Amino acid sequence: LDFQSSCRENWNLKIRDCEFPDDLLYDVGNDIWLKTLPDGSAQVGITTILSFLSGWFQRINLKQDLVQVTRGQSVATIESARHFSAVRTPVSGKIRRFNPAIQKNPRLINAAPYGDGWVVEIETKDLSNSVGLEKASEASEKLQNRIKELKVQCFAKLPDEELFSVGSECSATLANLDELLAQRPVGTVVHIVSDDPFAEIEIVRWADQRKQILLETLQDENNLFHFLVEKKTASST
Amino acid sequence: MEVSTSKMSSKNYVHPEVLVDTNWIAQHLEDPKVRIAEVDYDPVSNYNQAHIPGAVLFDWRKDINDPLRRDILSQAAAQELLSRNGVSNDTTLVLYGDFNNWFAAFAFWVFKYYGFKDVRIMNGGRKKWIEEDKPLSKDVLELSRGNVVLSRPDESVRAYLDDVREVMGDKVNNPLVDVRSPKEFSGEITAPPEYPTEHAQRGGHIAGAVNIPWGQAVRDDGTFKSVEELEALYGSKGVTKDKNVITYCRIGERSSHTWFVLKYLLGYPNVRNYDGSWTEWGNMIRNPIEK
Repeated sequence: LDFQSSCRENWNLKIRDCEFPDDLLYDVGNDIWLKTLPDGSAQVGITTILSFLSGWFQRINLKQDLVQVTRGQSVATIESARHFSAVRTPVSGKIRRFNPAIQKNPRLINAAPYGDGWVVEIETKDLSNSVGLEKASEASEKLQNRIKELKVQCFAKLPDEELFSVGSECSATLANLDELLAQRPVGTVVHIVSDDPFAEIEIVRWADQRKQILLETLQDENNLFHFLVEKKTASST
Repeated sequence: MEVSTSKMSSKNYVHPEVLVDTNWIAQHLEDPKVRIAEVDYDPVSNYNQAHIPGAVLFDWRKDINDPLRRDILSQAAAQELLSRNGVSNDTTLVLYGDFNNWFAAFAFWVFKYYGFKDVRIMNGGRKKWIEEDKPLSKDVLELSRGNVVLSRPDESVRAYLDDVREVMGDKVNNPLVDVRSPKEFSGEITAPPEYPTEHAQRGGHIAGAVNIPWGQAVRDDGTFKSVEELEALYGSKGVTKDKNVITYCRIGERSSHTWFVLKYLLGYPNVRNYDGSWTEWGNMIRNPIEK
């Protein structure tokens, strides 16, 4: 749990690498953020918690027929290969517009959850007394509990592929990784989970030999190693 | 539009009594004769977050599987699970869940195997309920104990490794339906991307199997297609009512979904689910495999 500076003006809260800009308000239980726009209306989107829990979104249903909405109401649903959830408005009001960019490309929500991947804008009068909405600094304990409860681990990039290798030797894992990367385009990000205590040494050497990028390495509280690898070089083997 | 609407609500399934829709559930939330159970592969990010008010949780890994050997839960454990969750022999048990109702279908198959009388599936599963923004709750109810006594297992709904070996190769009379994705069928991948944790040593499919991915049986909203569409889908691949059919996938959950379609919606008399599926077949020494 630490506050890190970023290119934004504010100090952002980071928990398990999940980032929470401090200039936004959070509805922690629904994984929602809200930003007050200059005209007083609200822009609403999802947090990195939901993005990393779900993985890349494949489908979205924006409820275009809705006009007046009440706090907690579902205004959209988003779906990835492994998760389906509702986007619930944290305030009551009138829907101004949905983000047209995510309609065509739901992956934008994952790519820029706090920016271009916003979901909906709502004209509202009750922002001042919006109960339960808190700044990241105020909600840090709740956010931490939420991440723990959902067992989420964020990374520098959202993985395209997952490779679970618990109970097998790292050399076997790396053979699978080579096989996988051979079929995937440059830029593919793979999340590897291993319980092999020598995994880190081997994967550093592997990345060096294969000229691929090792983006991130970490060990979680269950002593599992997590590696994030990006394909940089076309022919991997 | 009129035509497609009437087609959407096609109710001429052979056994319509095993399927209820979300509106039926909404009207029976307080019905003491109805017990609703959410069957999840991933309860942490589903049931635990919110569920249909009054629904109990069946955690697929912990509750529907034997804790020691690789098998479905024992008959005694099934009786205990149901009784503990307020189910009695005359209860209407309705199942729904995450991952497109795959694990709800698996549990349905398990309870039918053990002869539970009135078990049903909520069409469209957890996803449809949330899509319709129907009420959800985080509450877990204190239930008074029920009393379930199950009969002897009905082996006519379950196929084992030897059963598959016996019929393999006789495509005409005994079709094997592989309901996994085309990439799993061809061996390009050994586990679906949505939960990649369990692999087999080899990729491919059982020799002679026909690939009809489970998802072809449902619409975009996860509800089952009409009888006419389903008959056309399976019929065009030679999987007809007069055959002895075995369905399989990777761990037997998606194939339970197709088993449900063939056995109950289309009324095929002889269809078995091979729950050992690819994680058994693709790991055995010298089992015949095609890619």
